[in-house]
Amino acid sequence: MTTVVATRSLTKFYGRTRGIEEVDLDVLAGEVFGFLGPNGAGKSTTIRLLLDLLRPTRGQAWVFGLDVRADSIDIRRRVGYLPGELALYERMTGIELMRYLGAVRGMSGLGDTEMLAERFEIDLGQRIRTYSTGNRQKIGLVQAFMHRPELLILDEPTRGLDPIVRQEFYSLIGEARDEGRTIFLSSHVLPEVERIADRVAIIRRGGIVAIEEVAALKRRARRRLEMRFATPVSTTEFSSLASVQDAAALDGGSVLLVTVEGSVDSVIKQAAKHELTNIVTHEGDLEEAFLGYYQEAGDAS
Amino acid sequence: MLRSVLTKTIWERRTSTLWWLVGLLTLALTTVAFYPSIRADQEAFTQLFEALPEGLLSVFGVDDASVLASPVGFINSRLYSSVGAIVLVIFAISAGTAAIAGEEDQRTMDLLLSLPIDRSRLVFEKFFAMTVMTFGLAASMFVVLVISNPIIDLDLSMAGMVAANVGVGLLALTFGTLALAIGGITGRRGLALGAPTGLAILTFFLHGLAPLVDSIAWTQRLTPFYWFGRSTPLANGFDVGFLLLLGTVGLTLAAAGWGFSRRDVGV
Repeated sequence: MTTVVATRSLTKFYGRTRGIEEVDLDVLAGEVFGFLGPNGAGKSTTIRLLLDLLRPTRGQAWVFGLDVRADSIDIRRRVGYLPGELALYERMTGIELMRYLGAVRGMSGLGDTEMLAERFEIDLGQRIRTYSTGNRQKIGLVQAFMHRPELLILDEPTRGLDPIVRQEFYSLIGEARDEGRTIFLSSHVLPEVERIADRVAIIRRGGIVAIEEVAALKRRARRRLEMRFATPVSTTEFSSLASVQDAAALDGGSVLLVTVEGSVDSVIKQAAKHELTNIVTHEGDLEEAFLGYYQEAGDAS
Repeated sequence: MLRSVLTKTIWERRTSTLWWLVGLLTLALTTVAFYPSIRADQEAFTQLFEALPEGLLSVFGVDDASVLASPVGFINSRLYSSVGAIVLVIFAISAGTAAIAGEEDQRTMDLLLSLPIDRSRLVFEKFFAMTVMTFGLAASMFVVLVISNPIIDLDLSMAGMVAANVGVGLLALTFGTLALAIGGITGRRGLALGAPTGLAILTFFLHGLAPLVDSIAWTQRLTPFYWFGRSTPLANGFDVGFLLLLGTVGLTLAAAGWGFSRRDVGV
């Protein structure tokens, strides 16, 4: 499969402050690649290096196999970008902005603007300074998609969007993927990436901590079991098991909260030795897997 | 008007430019309208001006009080040696600042540079927009002079009127391009606006006052105002000093393109 975005040892320092360090990424053609990490971890720095807005301190990056420095114009022609700190020309109307961006892109018309505006239910006739945060973000998305780019680079695309618009955005991403386009999006909203991404890279303090398929990450996810017993049970019976990360007692020991990584088999077998009246499992989500990585990485450093 | 960076830059400043235009037109119109009353009492005015301290006159661009009551002397001192020139310089500095530093300050540069446009090309289009607007404003003074010339019998030559307005435009662009270049190289709006403004004020007074002090008289030649006005273009037409201004603008523009192309944006 073709690699659409590749970085090798990509490093950016702002003076002596680290932006990112030794970042290696490969985003494959046709996939939705989630770039996950807390604010300030280096997501925007990586993205802005790909668009030649920043110049690397070390390392290299390619988009469509083209060098991000030397061939930036050719790259940008084929990319739709949503800036993380989106700022628009306040005195223009939405449609004027689209006309301008389209014209500088060399488009003869407005591309998909009308269709996108309809889907996001936004009136482009208003002055941009009168738009709410959510509507500005919609404008940002419309301009990123309007020219049907092969690659979408979206920095925190759902910031400020209400849940219904988010759903519309997710289906737009799904359609773009079905058409064979590639999406590289950053987020700190974990369930979102879990829901729409094929693969995810986790970045923390300027470095990639993990790159995994979302499905694999889910398998490795932690689950929390809530077990109610007829008579109190000691937590030590469970905390000694290899798969158990944590065990806590409630109601004097008649309810146990157990955090499990991977298979729950040994926990269930241990619980079966007592009279188990109820069991509730909280499905592991990416957030837990994600926090797991963070804790390990945090312990190591 | 939204077909290119060039036209869009002019389009988005249309309202404010209109007000600058109203200001300059008012200045030019009141200047020529006021002149007949001076002519009516030419001798008294000449005596009055000659009685003023040399330094004061010098600051207002008058080095020979005896010509001040003449049409060329009066109009030159008002439009091309003081208020008119300063207004145009300030306009160009504000347009030059907005070009790169302003766009970066408002954080719209990320969006603009995500489009397939070369940074040097962007600098050039912004420069060109500033040039069009600056010369457009200078042309408004030109139009006032051309129309009032026969009516008030100002006896101005066409070559002089063209040269004075081209020259004052070049003078303004010298400072405006500096603002654009500082923005291009550093991305800092305050610096792009402040440094050329300070330099304009400094060189304006240096140009006026340096000749009064023998030991620093030569510093007058360091000022763009000198190379624009040394031979009174309104009276004598084009001066080779304009080429020096043109060269400075060219070099400053090249520095702007170079500086903007090599650095990080929006950090």
